[in-house]
Amino acid sequence: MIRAFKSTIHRELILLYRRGSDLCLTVIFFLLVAILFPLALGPDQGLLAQIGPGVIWVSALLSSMLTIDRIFYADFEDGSLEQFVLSTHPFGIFVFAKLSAHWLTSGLPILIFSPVIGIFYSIPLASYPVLILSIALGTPALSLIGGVSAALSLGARRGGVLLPLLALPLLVPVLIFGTAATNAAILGTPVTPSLLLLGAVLAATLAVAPPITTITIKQAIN
Amino acid sequence: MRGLQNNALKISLTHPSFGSKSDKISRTQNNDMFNFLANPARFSRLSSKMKPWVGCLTLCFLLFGLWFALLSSPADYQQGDTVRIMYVHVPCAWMAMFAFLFLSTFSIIGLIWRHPLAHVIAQSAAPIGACFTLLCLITGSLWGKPMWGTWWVWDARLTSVLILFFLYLGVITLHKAFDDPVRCEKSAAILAIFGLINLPVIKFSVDWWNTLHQPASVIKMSGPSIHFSMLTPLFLVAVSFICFFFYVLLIRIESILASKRLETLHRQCGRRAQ
Amino acid sequence: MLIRNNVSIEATTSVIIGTMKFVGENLTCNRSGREIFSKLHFEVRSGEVLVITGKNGAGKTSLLRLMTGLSRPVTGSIHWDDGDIFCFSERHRQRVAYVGHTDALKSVLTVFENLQLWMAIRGPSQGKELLKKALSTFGLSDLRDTPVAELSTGQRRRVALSRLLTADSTLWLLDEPTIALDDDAIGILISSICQHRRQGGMAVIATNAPIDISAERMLDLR
Repeated sequence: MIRAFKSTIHRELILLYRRGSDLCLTVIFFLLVAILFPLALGPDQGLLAQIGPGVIWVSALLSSMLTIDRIFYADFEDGSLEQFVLSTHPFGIFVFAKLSAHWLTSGLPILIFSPVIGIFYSIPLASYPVLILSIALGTPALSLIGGVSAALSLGARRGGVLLPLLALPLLVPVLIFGTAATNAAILGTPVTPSLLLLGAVLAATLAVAPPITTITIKQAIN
Repeated sequence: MRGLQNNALKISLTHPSFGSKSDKISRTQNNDMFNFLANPARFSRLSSKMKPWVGCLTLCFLLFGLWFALLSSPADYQQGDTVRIMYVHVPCAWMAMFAFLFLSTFSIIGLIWRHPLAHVIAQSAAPIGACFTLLCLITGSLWGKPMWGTWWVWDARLTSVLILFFLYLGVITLHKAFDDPVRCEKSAAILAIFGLINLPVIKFSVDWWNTLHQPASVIKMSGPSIHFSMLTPLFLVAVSFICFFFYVLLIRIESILASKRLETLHRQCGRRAQ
Repeated sequence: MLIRNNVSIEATTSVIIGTMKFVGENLTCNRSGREIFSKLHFEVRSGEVLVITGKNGAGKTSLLRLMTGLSRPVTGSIHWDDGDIFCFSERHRQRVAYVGHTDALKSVLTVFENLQLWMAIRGPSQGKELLKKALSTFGLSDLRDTPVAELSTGQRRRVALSRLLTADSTLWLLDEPTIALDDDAIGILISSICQHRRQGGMAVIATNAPIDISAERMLDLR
């Protein structure tokens, strides 16, 4: 079972590596969105430091939405998902592996590049640990909840529009608590409540989202 | 009234073996199609009998409620006459949440017991709930302008209700998103159940976070902290809204069933033509 | 997990030697709320081939998908002589290899990688030798390091079919297997099926094209 999990992650990573552009695309999109705000709002450092955490989170959310539809759709199209379901291992293993692979290829790059945006927005250095911790807690939840929406809109007539409509309302708590934690760190107020809430959101989605995704995909294939 | 309504629904759900005369034709043709159609036929007859009663009740409660709300209840000592917006706003908010709970309940019934009517009921309830949510947001906004000095604030209660509205939109969209009707029903049901998490967030958002929105004053452990003269119209309007919800629900269910029936007939005609 | 695996492997091997029965009774199938067929029976025993024929839209693919367990019948049951396929779904999936309309191949991977990853995901691995043998049987040895993107439709079909030989399954479910294949490949396919049959396996083939195989059982969906 662990072997199946590993092989699936291995497979996803190879596929992404071979396609090449996808991985860079997430990061480039993430940086581009974040760069747009100073251009639109002007170079006022105080203002930028204030909106910085929010911008980082919105960019992270949007760029993870950019790739989330691909985790199931390509396999759905070419019939691989059917073969996954028909394998001897429980299908949930593959779903969880795919979601993990999505985090590795979208959440992790965002995590690595968020300090760069932090520098652009002159966020004080002391609050970087909290920023990174909040993103580390929040991005897995983005992948998990995004996975539910991707499964729900699998094969829909207007899948491209449907996916954000389903995903974004569900992702609001992550956005709120993630931003709140970093803002609190900048202002010097206690950060633990927001981080704990973010952790709670992650724990809840970790428990609920993969089974729901599994059920949804199974009935999509049906 | 609500109890009666629910009983009526239960009756139609637990007795699937009744069929009208027209259904006996399809019964002879095809036993399973009969099972599918008989239930809706029974339901349609029941609902067409109940509809006028529910409509009358809606009207009565609404008239009484409005009379109490607009004329017989006192103006607030702080807010003046603007407080009367409450008599629309608060019942709308209750209905928004009640409708989602209703929607999710029938989604669960549909998913677990695979009852075909449950999904139809859920599909019918979604747009009504969405309208109540929108009304709640609009009336809240109208009330907020004179009271808080702003149309909108990003506080927890308002945001969570806005999310509820988008969840409704998601469910409604999913009902039409796929070519396979079964897939539509199931996907929408799963989203409705997943979205259930939002309801406690709405209810307790005013207690968990300090916000502009006032905390709960009607439904709480220590009893309502609102005067009886205001409570009466509030409940009257709420009851009328519930009746209205079921009135529109019945109409929508009937229309969906009729369109499904029409589709089946079209198919049968097509087959006969072949 | 390990113990369970052992038990089920034993079960399959013992079963291949003895005779087995795969039966569907009183099946009704709906697609998009419309009934396709009803009161359908079928039966396949070890060493037998069932050929399903019928017009387009008669429900050949739907019937095969019912047999895989991907979708459920509205009425009726499908079972082996030792249990229902939905009650004992893990055992069923171990016995079944399904080649559908789609090839379930990733175009960025080579032929060999595709099969290798699929084997790793499918379950108890059979080793590279079997894989090489499967490739040479279907005349793909020269193509093993070619990316699937460069293959023709017929060659892809060969790759998809060669998976059957790597899986060690009792029951082969083939949906229009001869489509896009040349005479040479059809010959290989038929001889593989005969070989499989001699070893006590069974096959269900849904096809419209006349297939030159002495099928013990025929099922005509009208």
